[in-house]
Amino acid sequence: MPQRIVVDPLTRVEGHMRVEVQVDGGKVTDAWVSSLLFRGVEIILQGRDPRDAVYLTQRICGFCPGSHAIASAYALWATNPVDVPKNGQLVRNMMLAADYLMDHLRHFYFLVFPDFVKLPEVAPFVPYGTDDFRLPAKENAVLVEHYLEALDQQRRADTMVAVFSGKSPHLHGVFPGGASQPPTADRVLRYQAHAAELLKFIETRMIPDMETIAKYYPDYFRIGKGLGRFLSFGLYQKSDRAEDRIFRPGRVVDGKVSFLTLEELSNGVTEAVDYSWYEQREPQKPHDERTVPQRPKGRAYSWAKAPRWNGEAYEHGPLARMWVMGEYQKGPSTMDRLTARVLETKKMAELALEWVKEIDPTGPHIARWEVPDSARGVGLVDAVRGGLGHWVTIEGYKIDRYQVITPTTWNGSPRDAKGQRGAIEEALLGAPIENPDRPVEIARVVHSFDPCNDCAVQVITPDERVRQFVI
Amino acid sequence: MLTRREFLKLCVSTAVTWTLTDVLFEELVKAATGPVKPKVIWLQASACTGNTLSFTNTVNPYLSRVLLDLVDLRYHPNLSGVMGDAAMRQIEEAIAKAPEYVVVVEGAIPTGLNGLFGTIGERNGKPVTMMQVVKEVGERAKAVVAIGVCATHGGPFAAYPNPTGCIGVSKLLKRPVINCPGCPCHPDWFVGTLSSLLLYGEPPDLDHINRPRVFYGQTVHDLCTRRSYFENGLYAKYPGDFGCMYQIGCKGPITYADCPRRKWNEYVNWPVEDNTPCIGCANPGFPDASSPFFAHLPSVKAPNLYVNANTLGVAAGAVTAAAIGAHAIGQIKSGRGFGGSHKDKPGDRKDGGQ
Repeated sequence: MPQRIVVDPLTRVEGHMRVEVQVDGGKVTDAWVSSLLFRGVEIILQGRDPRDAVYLTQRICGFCPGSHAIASAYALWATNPVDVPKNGQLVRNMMLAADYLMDHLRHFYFLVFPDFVKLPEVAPFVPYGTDDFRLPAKENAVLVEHYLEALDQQRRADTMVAVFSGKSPHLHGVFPGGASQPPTADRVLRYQAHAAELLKFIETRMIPDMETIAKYYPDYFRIGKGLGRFLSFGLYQKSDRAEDRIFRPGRVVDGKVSFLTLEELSNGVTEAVDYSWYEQREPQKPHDERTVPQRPKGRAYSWAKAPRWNGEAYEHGPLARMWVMGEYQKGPSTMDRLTARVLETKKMAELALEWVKEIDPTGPHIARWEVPDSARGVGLVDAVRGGLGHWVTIEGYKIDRYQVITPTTWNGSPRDAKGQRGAIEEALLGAPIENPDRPVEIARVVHSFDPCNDCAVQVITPDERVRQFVI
Repeated sequence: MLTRREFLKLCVSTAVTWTLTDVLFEELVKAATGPVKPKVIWLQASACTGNTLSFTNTVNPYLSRVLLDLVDLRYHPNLSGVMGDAAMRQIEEAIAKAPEYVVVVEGAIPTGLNGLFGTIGERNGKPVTMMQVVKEVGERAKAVVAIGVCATHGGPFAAYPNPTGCIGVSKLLKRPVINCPGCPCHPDWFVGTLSSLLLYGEPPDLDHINRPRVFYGQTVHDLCTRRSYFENGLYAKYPGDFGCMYQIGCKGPITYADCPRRKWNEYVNWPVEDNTPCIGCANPGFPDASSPFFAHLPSVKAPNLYVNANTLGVAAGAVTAAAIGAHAIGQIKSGRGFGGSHKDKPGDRKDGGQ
């Protein structure tokens, strides 16, 4: 007899998330993932000065503000291209790499560790979410020590961002024409010092910790398979040619990699709302989307929409990027996702240290960029959790429409009209559930995606209807 | 034990020469770890998690000491081990024993759809809204601290047209709420306020909108490290230029926060030093009262060219606060957009001088 299990709230994700699964014979046979917070940032952006978008879109997410700032700056740049100086590209990339470090470190230690490691017996770590802690006491003690170190080390990454952005989270300093902070020697050295410390931490703590976890939870190399289809928008643009990126945009199907242009990526994206709390309509392209909130609505169960590329659901994230780049091509599974993320963290620290050498401390760092009268622009970049897209339309020097599709909208997507599940829902299928009262297996699978529901739900709505609806 | 006066003095000077950690922390631990550590519950409403993350950047003292030695953090959505029903039990316990708890709220409270724009968990199979939980635990708690401008006054998600009906915590509760605004809140502002609560049983002195004066007592403009550039008329023309940011939209004159003195993230930088204008993120009206971020505050008609720059600064603050309050917000509410007619090019506003 199938049984339904609801986990609400699913903690240690960004934002608010609910997961419901159907269990039959001790295994998950179906799953529904819900995003539970709607804020309407895109509605708020309408009619504003386009330059404010770089700041305001960051407020979507405190975990990845750098990614939103960059995507927004790219989108605005595309409405009125200028020559961005090399330093400008480099400094923006350095902020983004630091944003990645901050995010990956916090995800691995704050959000994932409590699923596998028995942390000290004090709140907030107790009550524990599970009894299934498998590390022998000695190894567990080592990882607990590392966790406590991580609590005090992770801040370095945010400091690296702030060296160039004034403060973090929520950066200043990122502009369509480059970066406002000149990369003077003192700043670059400070950035470098923190990056070097973090690289040491990653090599001597994070990677060995990952190996320990993988050693004692080998079954998770078989749990959480998912769609097996990956998409990456690429990142770290080197020049004004959008495809000129260190991580290349591409997709993976059946283990095979094909590279894509950003235009192909952008043109293939549509969003469906069949199971989302919005007025029913056909799937639409991001530039044209008009959506009206509606809750309750029959079979709908999430504020997240269902983005698809050429009609198909895709998984996003570090495993997608590392697979496209040929640097990690195992799995997919829960443990492969975690491993790819940890290995990527090391790569980001190495890149950060590489760029330090390329900086020209006296060269220009920003080009003047003006708001055009009317234009459209797209900014695509892989944020920490996967492909992030900002679509902007400017009319009369003001934002006419702004559409954001985030990685967790893809990964945490509900079903579409064809009944196609989102990546996390698909990954939950087949997961064994030992104790229905404390289904830690669900948490482990879901956390491997690092879902960010703060990001997942953004929607644009014709404002007159919103007023009518909300008040 | 430090006197309260000495403590406040330390808070002010933290970033300059002292570290709160060295001098104060041992005292704090002694006070806090008496028979029982003070119980704290952290609730997230309509937020971006930015204030949690800013809090984790604390260096005075470091995060591990705050978590392990200072407070009994009974529930935090990003740090807690528990999930689902067990997480809800932590919340229900805080509701039942509210008078024992200090409640920290991050995020605005969505009131639209009767709160259904944001739910925090389930009770008997029914969604529980953020609005409900913050009310249930907040009304009777020992103290309520709103962290970040969303929780204090609504913030970015309450910006026009406020699609989800977001309000600040103090508007929801019928009791005093300690407000620590900022987008995000500086870790020192929050940890300092919390420390005072734990040490002395009361927050630092509060101003008329319940902000601790010690952190929010002066304007960014008054403390600005580039104040001399303002007075000497050396203005940046574009973000990235070196100089005073006043002409390209700096909201320092109307923003009460000690960023210039304290600086951010281990005290390495702050927005004006980053060659960008202050966007007034610690203001109750953020972001509407300070956007467009790159359009300068309405001008002050100086009686003659050689007006004392100090006077100009003071006048600019007073006049623009009033002007922004009445004029700009009026425009926003009437749906006429921002700063001048629809076809005006940003930066070319006719209503603004220097």
